[in-house]
Order: sequence, then C-alpha cells, then structure tokens
Amino acid sequence: MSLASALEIGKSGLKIYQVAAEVVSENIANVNTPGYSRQRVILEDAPPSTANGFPLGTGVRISSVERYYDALLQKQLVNAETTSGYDTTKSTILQQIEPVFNEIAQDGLGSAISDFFNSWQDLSLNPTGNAERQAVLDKGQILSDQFNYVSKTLNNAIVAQNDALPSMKDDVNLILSNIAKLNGQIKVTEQVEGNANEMRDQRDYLVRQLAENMAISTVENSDGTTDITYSDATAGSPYALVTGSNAATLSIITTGGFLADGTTPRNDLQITPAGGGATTTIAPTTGKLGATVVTRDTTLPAYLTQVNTLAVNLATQVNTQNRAGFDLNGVAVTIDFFSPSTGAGTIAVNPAMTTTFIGASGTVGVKSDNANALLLAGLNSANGYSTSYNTLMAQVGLDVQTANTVVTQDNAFMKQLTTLRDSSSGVSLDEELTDLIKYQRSYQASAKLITTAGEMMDTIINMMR
Amino acid sequence: MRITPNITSQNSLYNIQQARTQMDKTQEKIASGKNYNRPSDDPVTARLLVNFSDQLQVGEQYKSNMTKANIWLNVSETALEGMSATMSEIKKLTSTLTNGTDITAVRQNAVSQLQTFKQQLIDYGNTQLNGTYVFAGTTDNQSVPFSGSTYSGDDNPLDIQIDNSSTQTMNITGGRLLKGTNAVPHQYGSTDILTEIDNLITAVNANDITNIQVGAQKMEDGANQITNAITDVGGRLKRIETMQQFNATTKSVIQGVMSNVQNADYAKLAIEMQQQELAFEATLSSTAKVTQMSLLDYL
Repeated sequence: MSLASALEIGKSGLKIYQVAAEVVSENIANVNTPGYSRQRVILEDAPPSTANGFPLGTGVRISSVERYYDALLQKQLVNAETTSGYDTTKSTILQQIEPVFNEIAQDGLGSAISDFFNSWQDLSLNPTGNAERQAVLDKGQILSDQFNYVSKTLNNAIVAQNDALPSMKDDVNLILSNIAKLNGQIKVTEQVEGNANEMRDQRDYLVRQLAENMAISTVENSDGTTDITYSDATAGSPYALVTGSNAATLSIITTGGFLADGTTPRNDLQITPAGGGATTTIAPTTGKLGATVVTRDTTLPAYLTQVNTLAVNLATQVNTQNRAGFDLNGVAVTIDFFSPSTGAGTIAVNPAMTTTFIGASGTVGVKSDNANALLLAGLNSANGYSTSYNTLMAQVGLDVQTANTVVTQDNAFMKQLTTLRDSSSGVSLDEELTDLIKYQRSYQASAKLITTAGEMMDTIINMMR
Repeated sequence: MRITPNITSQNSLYNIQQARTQMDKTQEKIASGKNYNRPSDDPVTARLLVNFSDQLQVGEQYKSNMTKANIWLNVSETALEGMSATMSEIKKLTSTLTNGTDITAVRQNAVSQLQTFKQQLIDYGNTQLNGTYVFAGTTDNQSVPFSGSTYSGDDNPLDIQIDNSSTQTMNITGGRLLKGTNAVPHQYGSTDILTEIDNLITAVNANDITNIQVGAQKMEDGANQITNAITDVGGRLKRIETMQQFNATTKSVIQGVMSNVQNADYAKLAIEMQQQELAFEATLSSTAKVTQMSLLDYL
C-alpha cells in the first residue's frame, strides 16, 4: 500500500460523491415531474488489493443508480386509470344532459304534457269557446316545442361524443408512437449498459395515460421493451398496440352508418396493429374511448328512444281520439291534431289544425257537446304519458347518481394508489437534503484525505532532503 | 409509510376539495331552499316529488273545473228559483179560476197574466252565462233554445271531470225542465209546462171549467217538476262542495308531504354549514402549516 493508493482512494471518493450529489440534484429537480421515480446511487467498495499483504478495498465505486419502482403498483394504476377514465367521461356526459330532465327545478316536458291535457279539461267546460280552443292549440304547440328541445339536446350530446372521437384517436396515436420510440431508445441504451431510468419513467407514465383511454395489458420483455395489447369483443381481438419499437395506429371511418339523428355519419374506430396486419374495426367498451362510444351508441340513444316512443304514442293516440270527435260545426274531424310524427324531433301541431277542427263533441251534428274533450283529457291518465316521462326522469337521475358515486370511489382509489406510488417512488425534499449534506460531508472528507495524503508525501520528500 | 411533500400536498388538496364539495352542497340547499335540486340528488325522491307535483297540477285543474261548474249551477239555480216563483204565481192565479167566471174582463185579465208568466218562464229558460244558454243542452248553444212553446235544444248532458275517476253533469236541460221530455235518467216530471199554459189560456178564454181544473192540476205538477229540478241542482252543488273539500284536503296533504321532503331545514343546514366551515378552516390552516415545513428552513 502506497501513499499513492491513498490518494487514489481519496480521488475515487471525490468523483463518486460528486456523482451522488448529481443524483440528488436530479431528484430535487424532478420533485414535481409527473411519473418520475426517485433514484439512489448504490455504493460499493472497490475490489480489494493485497499490496500490503492483507486484502483492503481500493476505495468506493458506484454499483448502480437504482430506481425506486413497484411493478405491481404500476399494473394496479394502469387498471385504475382505465376505470377512472371510463367513469369520469360517462359522468361528465350524463351531467351535461341531466338539466334537460330536471323537472324538480324548472318546468319542462313533464309539465308541458300535464298542461296540454289540462287545456282539454278547460275546453270540456266550454266546448264552443274560442279562447279554450285556442288554448288547446297553444298548449299543443308548447308540448311539441318541448319534445323537439329534449330530442335536439340528446341528439346534440350524441353528435358531440361522435365529434370527440377523432381528437381522442389522435391522442392515442401520439402516445402509442411515443411509447414505441421510448421502447427503442431503452433497448439501445441498455444494450450498451447505459442507464435508462428516466426513459422507463416516461414510458410508464405514457402507459398510464394510454390506459386512461382504453383497457390494455402490458408485458415486459427481457430487452427492456414493453409490449402492449388491447382486447375487446371484436373478432380480431387481442390487437397488438405496441410491439418493441412498432406502434399500432387508430383511424376513423365514417361509412359504418348514421347516428340517431339519421344525418350525421357515425365515426367508427379502426386499428392497424403494431408491426402491420389487416385494419379492423374495433368496439371499445373501456376507458375514455369506451365511455364515449358507449354513451353515444347505447346510453343516450336509449333515452332518445324512450322520448321518441312517448312522442309517437302521444301524437297517435291524440290524433285518433280527436278524429273520433266532431268539430265546431258538428262535423266529423278528418285531420290530425299532430303532424304525422316519427319521433320527438319531428312532432308538431298540424299546420292545417285550426280551432274549428278540435273534436270536442262526441255526437255528430252536436256542437257544444264535450264528451270527446273529456275522453281526450283522460288520455294522459289512461295511457300514463306523465308517468312514463317521470320514470325516464328518475332513470336519468339514477344513471347520473350512479356515475357520480363511482367517480367518487375511483378518485378515492386513485388517490390511495398514487399515495402508495409516491410513498415508494416519490421524491422527499427533506430526504434529499439530508443525503446532500451526507454526500457533501463525505466529499469534504475525501478532499481532506487527499490533502492529508499530500502532506504525508511532503513529509517523506522532506525527509529525503 | 414513507411520506413525501407531494403526498402531503395531494392529500391536502383532496381534503380541501372534499370539504369544498360538502360546503357547496349545503350552500346550494340553503340558497335554493330545497333539499333536492336535480334528479341525481335522489332519483327515488325526485320521482316522488314530480309525481306529487303532477297530482297537484291535475288537482288544480279539477278545482278550476268545479269553480266553473259551481258558477254554472248557481246561475241555473237562480233561474230555477225564478221559475218556481213564477209557477207559484200561476198556481195562485189558477186557483181563483177553477170555478170559472162569466166576467170577460176577469178572464181577459187572467189570460194576459198567464201570457206574461209564460213569457217569464221562457225568459228564465233562455238564461245565459258568458254568452252560452245554460238550459240549451249540447246543441249549438249560441241560439235561443226557447221560442214560443217550442224547445230547440237537446237533452244531452254536459259532463265535467271533478276527480280522477268521477264526472258530474253540469247542465239541466230545458226539455226536461219545461217540456217534460227525456225524463230518463233524471225524472223531474212529464208535464209539458209551456203547452199546458197554452191549453190553460184556451180553456180560460172559453170558460171551459173542466179543462181549467185539468190545467190547474197540470200547473201543480209543473211546479213540482221545477222543484224537483231545484232539488237536483242543490244535490249537485252539495256533491261539488264535498268534492271541493276533498280536493282541498288532498292538496294540503300532498303539499305537506312535499314540503316535508323538499323544503330545506334551515336550522339544521345552518348548523351543518357551521361544522363544515370549521372543518374547512381547520383544513386550510393545517395545510398552510404542514406544506410550509421544510428542512431547507434550517440549513
């Protein structure tokens, strides 16, 4: 053992603690970076030499820069992101349409239905009254307007979901190509024994973002790359989203048919799997994409169908009953009250309908009879229009409530998982500062070692003079 | 568990958000005065509330129907009271004629009075309400139903709805009343009062004692016929009054239940709000303290 080796040991200390301080500074700098996992230098003693006749280490060296990372937690986070993405999106959409059905706070379709049939009651008290007849027409107009409004709002919400798909598809494509790029870089870096910790963090973060959009499963390969697949109920499932440095691409076709409004072409998602393969149409039911497609194709159309059925039934039954009556001149009514209606969007009071053609009378030739007006007024309770509308309102309320509750649970679960992840991977400034002081002191000590060894050399050199 | 500053700040944010959400809910209830502001607040209760308000709306309609029917029946009753008084006058007059008289002037005077009384009955029979002839049945009630001794109206009932499942006939038809026709289902009598007065006038003119006595009997029957009609109207008014009370009771019961469910309890909410405020302020203050702490301050 020579003094020179003591100098060498001091030098290794200086070098290594400088690196350690660098790692600390990297941690401190990334304290707020989403997805960042803290890193630690793992020190080990350098291989011993037996120059002094007994083995002694030759200083300190870095065994590795380790990343605090929990693979199981990452998997749980990926799954939780998918659930949360689906529930949050669905809840947002449903909350947007809830006000249309909010009969508690303001009068809407429900009260328009009651008002319309009440106006027939008023007519029954004065079957020939012009004001009463006009009121029936006006209330019919308001009822049609309300039906049109509800139908329009639901259709707009459906179209809005359809319009959201292209930009969501672009997001997913960007994430996929970035993951594929990172896969390639990680593989190359690790092949040359490099440190790809930051890239792995970025990739994990992107995978979580991807999972928010659709349910995925990941496989970690021995070369450091991650393969991602997506499955749904379609025939070609599962689809490879990322294989090594190849990414799949999502695209949209508009030839699959039309939305509920009958005019807007439906955007269908297609996938070209990673590494090539036939482009296939997919039907996502998970994540943000799934929520968008499911609300567009199932939830909102179901509400619309109920409103449409109600509109068609009401229009048909009112028309039939009105035709069964006799008009202001005691002549049988031959025109419809509501224009032939195919749904809530098209229902309207027949333009040819005037106060004369309201069939209040139930007897031919008799003008001021009110038998038919009474029958018309009774249609609501007989066929339960108000009841079915109230059921629909409660259904929407229940769906919104369920979605909101699930979102609250998701948030709590996500918070729990994020806390757990932060607990192992998050940067603690206090910890880093303590480490920094530790490394600073070690650096100072190494420097002291070098000056001491230098002084010892001086002593020897001076002895030789 | 290892706690990092990020965990602390995320937890703080989450808790602040939770506290704010709760306060916002309470604040909404206080501001709107309602416990439920949208269907999703409680779908089952929302459905209940909307059903109740439908029921109230229909109840209001029945109330309005009954108010209008009441006016109609009261107008009818006034006319009927008038007819009844006229019939009494006719009866009084005929009772002086049953033995006949040779004095032409007396007979002419009686005939003239009978003609006036008949016209009086016709005028009552043509009573109008808002431009509608109340005794005209369901024919075109824009034209006079009684002209001379003929009745051009019909005897169809004008039913109105006074409750979910019950209707009430509103009109008394002129035919049943003064012509004794269509006795079924409301049999007031079968006396054709107007024609019988005509017959009586003929008999008085001819001093035909037998027919005058027959006429006097008919006038007696006619008076009963009108009294029967008055009784019927009274019965209908009573039924409507009962239904009005029932309607009002139902309304106040429903309103009571609704306000129990829907109206916000301000005292309770104010206390809840205070508790939430306290919790929120505590959260804010502890967040401010915890997030400020750092080893950096001591280095």
